[in-house]
Amino acid sequence: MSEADSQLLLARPIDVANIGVDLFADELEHQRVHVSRVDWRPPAEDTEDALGRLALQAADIARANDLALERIEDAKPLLVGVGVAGQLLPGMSERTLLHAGPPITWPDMSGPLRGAIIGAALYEGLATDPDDAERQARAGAFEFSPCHERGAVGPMAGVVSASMPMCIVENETHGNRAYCTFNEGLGKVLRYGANDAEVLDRLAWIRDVLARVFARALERLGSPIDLRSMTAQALQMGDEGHNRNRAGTSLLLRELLPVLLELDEPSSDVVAAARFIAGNDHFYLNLTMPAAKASADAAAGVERSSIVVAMARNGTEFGIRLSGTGGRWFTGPSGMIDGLYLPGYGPEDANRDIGDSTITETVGLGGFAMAASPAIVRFVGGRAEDALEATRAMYDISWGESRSYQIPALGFRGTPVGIDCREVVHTGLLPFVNTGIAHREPGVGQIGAGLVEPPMEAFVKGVRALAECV
Amino acid sequence: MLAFLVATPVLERVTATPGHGIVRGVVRSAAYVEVETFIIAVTARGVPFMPNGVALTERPSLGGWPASGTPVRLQRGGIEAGERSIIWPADRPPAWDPTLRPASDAGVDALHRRAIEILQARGIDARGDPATLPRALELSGLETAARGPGANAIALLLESVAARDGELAARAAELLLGRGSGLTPEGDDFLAGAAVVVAAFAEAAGWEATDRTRWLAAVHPPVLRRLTTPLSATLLELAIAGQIIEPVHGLLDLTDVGGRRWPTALRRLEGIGHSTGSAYAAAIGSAALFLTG
Repeated sequence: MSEADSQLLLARPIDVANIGVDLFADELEHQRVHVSRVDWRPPAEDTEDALGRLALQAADIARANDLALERIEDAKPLLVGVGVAGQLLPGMSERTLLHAGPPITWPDMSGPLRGAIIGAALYEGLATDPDDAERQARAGAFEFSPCHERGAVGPMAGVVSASMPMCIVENETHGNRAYCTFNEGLGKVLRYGANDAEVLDRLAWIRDVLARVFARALERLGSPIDLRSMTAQALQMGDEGHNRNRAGTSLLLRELLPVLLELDEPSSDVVAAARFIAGNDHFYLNLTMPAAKASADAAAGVERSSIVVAMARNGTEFGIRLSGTGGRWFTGPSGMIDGLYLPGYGPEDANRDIGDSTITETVGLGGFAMAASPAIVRFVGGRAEDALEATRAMYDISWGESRSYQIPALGFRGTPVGIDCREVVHTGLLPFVNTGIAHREPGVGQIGAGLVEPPMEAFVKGVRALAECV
Repeated sequence: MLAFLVATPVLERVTATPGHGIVRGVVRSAAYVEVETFIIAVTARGVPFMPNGVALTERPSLGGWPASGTPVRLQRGGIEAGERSIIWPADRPPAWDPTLRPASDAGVDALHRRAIEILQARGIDARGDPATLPRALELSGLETAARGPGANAIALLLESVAARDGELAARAAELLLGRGSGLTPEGDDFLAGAAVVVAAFAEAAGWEATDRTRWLAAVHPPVLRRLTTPLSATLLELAIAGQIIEPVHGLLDLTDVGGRRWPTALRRLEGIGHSTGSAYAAAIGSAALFLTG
């Protein structure tokens, strides 16, 4: 451009369209230049062939995705009771220890997961002390397996052992079941890798008291609790179903309270159980998760479908499973979480992203429902507007909109649901995940909460594998 | 803008006397609000919590902060600065108490060991005496400790800690205050680091209450605000009250026996400002060494 052209250009007000990187737009706006931002990212590298092959099958994939989404949407997850992991989950021996995320071996496990494994071994009486548990783990004395592969899900480390009580969620529509342990509350808890006497005592109390009282209350209710309906109500009350569960927990307690008062159980146990639930805002998370799992599992196994039916992290790797590629995991490194840290902690203390709780995002909750929960930014950071934007962005990578989960702030529009792996790769837009932050050392606990981007690598692998299938 | 945490000294002021102030300065990660003689630091997400701070849930762009010179109105539940508001729940504010409280079972020996560990982590030979340590501090990057009045002041300050001597402390403070450049001069930072150690640990180290009071009063001259910047004066006054920036809490967590967590706290502290965090760390290590030596 000649100097004369430059002068001509700068002689009048400039209107700039900025595509992609925000840095340029930020600088121009700082100089009071009007900028129209266009949100565009190039597709992930080396995916043209796979996306091209899938494009040739677009009509078939669309039909498959319609079916997968219909199964997610038609699922009716009901809380039907409480059982014991060793009796409920397939292939559970007394030495089986389940964990969150895709498969992993002891040497690759992060601090919180190792801490939880050690804690579960102590809880089951498989080890005499933490050193003994670690020695046995290193020697291969325990069988490790992902919760997802046994019909279960677990928040954070997600460790499940044979004698742990599990909430049973049954998908009435399709007949499949999913399971989850009871939420232990905040502070020093097994799911963050803590394993001292306080943690083990609480787990024993959950097994001996809470699970019994909870099970009796469910029996006395007479009919199972419709978790889809309850979660839908919770979204209208400011939850997003992953990191904010205050409304869901309150609704659950409201349902249970009358029958708790009628139970023929020691009143001290009933009071303790009610207090425990009332004092733990995240109690409902461990019901949202199996409800989501029961819904997403119903959508698994639809040939050619590119819908994501599981997203999970083990603290080292993030993995996804697609409806159309069977039980295969596609993985990449777990991300570091950008969020708000509690006093005394910072990013240097944080473990990588961990937990099966991203099953909530898989069915249109959590990061996909942030617009329902402006208050979530007090936990995960950002502005209330960011919560709206997060949900809006997720429509671009989702196959449909939820009929049940509606967002008042978006005119009661349904949350985006059914992550289309192709669209993630094509748009470069990754699913929004909001999550707790675990300390990288076992036993410290939660040190914050924030947002994390899954690795694109996992979605690229998924798209390539699907392209080979079709 | 939403507040994630509000330091209790800020809440006390806002609750006790809702009033007015002015935005005195804005940088990329913080805005400074002057209320009478107190400076409130409004900080972006990711900045370590300040004892005079309001920490936001977001990271505003430079243009997202209220402009310097904007009048400010303080009230329960928030700060209004022109068109911008910083809010928190008035009935249940997200309070953070920056007061450094040693664990009840933390002994002097543990503090002594931590002092040595901190100094060694910064490459400082901890075997010196108050007269020779400034040279080691200078070599570790503390400009104030270079030969001359700064080095003398640091030697005096450390001697005052070792001797529990308020008069020496007053002379040291006079020489250190305002020494260095920036919003918080390095000499002030060093003084604040030493002050918080004395405020929090003198009793455990066996000081008489009167010695502690005298020493702390000595590093707070009546002309403080003529000697340094308003922000630095605010931070020094809070340090004298035992209230300090958040990574120092992890650094001096003496229950962290295995030493798994304090090194990350040290790294976060060292990352603060151009030299502020490093000066705090050097001062805390040195003062703790002579408090317990």
